[in-house]
Amino acid sequence: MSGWLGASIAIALAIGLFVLLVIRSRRARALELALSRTTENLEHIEQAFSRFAPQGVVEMFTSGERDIAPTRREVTVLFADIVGFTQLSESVDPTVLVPILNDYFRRMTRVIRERHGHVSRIMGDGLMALFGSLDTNRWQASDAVQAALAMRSALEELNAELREKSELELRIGVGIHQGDCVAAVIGSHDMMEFTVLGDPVNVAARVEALTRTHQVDILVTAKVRDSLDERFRLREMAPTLVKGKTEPITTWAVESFDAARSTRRNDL
Amino acid sequence: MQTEGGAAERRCTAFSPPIRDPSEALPVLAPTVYSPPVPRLLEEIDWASPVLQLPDDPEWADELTQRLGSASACYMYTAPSRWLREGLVQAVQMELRHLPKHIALQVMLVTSQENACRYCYGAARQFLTLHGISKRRIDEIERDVKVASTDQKEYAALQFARNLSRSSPRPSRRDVDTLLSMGYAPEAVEEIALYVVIVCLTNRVATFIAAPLETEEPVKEGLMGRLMRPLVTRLQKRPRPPAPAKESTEVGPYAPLLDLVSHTAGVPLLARMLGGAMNSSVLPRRTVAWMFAAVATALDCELCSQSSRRLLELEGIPKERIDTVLHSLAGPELDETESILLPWVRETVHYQTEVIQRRSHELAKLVDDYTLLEAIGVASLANACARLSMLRQ
Repeated sequence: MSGWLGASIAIALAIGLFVLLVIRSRRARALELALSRTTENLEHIEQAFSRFAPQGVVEMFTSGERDIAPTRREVTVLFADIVGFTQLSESVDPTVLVPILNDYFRRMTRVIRERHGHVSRIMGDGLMALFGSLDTNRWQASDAVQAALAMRSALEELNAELREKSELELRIGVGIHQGDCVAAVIGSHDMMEFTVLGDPVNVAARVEALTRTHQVDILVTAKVRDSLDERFRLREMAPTLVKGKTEPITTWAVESFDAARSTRRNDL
Repeated sequence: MQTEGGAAERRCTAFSPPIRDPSEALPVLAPTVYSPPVPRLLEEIDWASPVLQLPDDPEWADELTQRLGSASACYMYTAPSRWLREGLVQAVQMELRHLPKHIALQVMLVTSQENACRYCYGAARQFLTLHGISKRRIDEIERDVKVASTDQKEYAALQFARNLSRSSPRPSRRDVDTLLSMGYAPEAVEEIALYVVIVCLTNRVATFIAAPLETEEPVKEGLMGRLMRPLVTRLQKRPRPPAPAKESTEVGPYAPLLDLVSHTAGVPLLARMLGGAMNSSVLPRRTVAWMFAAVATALDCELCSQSSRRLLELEGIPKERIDTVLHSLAGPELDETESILLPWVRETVHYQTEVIQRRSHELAKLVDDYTLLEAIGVASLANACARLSMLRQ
């Protein structure tokens, strides 16, 4: 009798243990699945987020950094704008124009990234790209001008494709300036962005606007010009007064880059 | 030899904890240059066709099979450069005194993942499989190092590998301090750092060559995998033949770099590679020095910059001319090959796999295969050295 009772208890205990193990194992599997889904979600968020901020900034936020300390550093700022976009947007159907605009930004972002810059902001048809805003970059001015030249080539390719389909053609103006900026994450809890602040940003924007005045596509300031070598072919423009400045500023139009030339600068 | 956490007889190493005011805040983590999202999975990495012709060297293939168990593509492509091919083989066999093997393998995977090296990434997965780590575990590590490890100390080593293999945020003393605070001995930190930069070096060589991945995972966890595992383990434990006799460990101004990892078993490997690069029969020493200087400048690495400048001065280049060239990576002081190599080597610091492989293909049209291979070796070594020395800053 007692043997039967003991065996029954042992069997009951074994069954109980088995059931417990099954429950635990299911719970562990569910947790693993949840963890895997969370990781995938995190990845998607990171990838989506990296379209809005430099990857490094995204990494810092996702790795638990609460604040990114603002830093003062020398940055080269590039502004680019589509010439006559307002008229274009009024005359061309948005369903035609928006894909072209997106294609334009995709191509420009790519060439900027390949030259060690990043697109910090897109404002309508304009963009602001930064070089050296996050890490020290000894060749930031040269990178920015190379990027502008690559943008010119990329636009020619885009225009060639557009010409096959329509009468539409895009023209851009690019302004580049270098100077001390504050690089920081700016905004409120609801809306934030990593960007740079300071006078060089305003000057770069003004210089970009001067491309209309001087009827050229790429303009750089004296500060940028001083960092370039002989391989860049530049043409001096007449000093022009711009908004927010008391003195006229001299700019140089960037004609070309010739890798084979000697590096001693000799402007036209 | 000091083991992890044993503080009693701790010797002073390059990565000993700094004497600092306790109130002094840790340096602020520098933000980064934009880079596209790191590919997390093997299949997300774009890979070009090889930039070099596969050399026909049956002797080297036999030697590789004897020493490593197989003649993998990456090692075969480097056959013409003795210092590079020997360095890569010895890197695989590098003795690790502090870093447990399973963590080392995970470090290899994470580093290859960060460098987006499809070849090494695939090889690391294969290694992990052969060492009995389940596919699920590998997938976990691959998916995200942040959630893969439950062990804080292990996690710290993986995170360290991740930071060091990136060029941005710049690796710094802070990364070392984090490992020390987790209980790693300074010698262990030296070893991990050297191991990571050696993996980075291998990653770069494989990436710049665009070495083809023979198969994704030739040995899976099935019956074949289980049968192959002891064989591979045995092959790895075989006595290794001595390294080729003709080699140089003369590193000149780069000696301080070796001091950073002087307590590791890998220091002779680094010395031999540096000596080999500096005494290359393909690239003149001054070209190697220019390439090192360009990488050090790009990474803003003080120690490597000083060493490279010193070497350039020893090669008879005046200080002001060094500055002029490094200002634009061009100039009449450079010969034709240097003018081609310097802009390229700068691109090897912050790179996207697709872009650097495209640029390597462009370079291949301008220089012969021997020069290209040597340049790939020097660029990879310069990046490894600069990253290592940045940990001191």
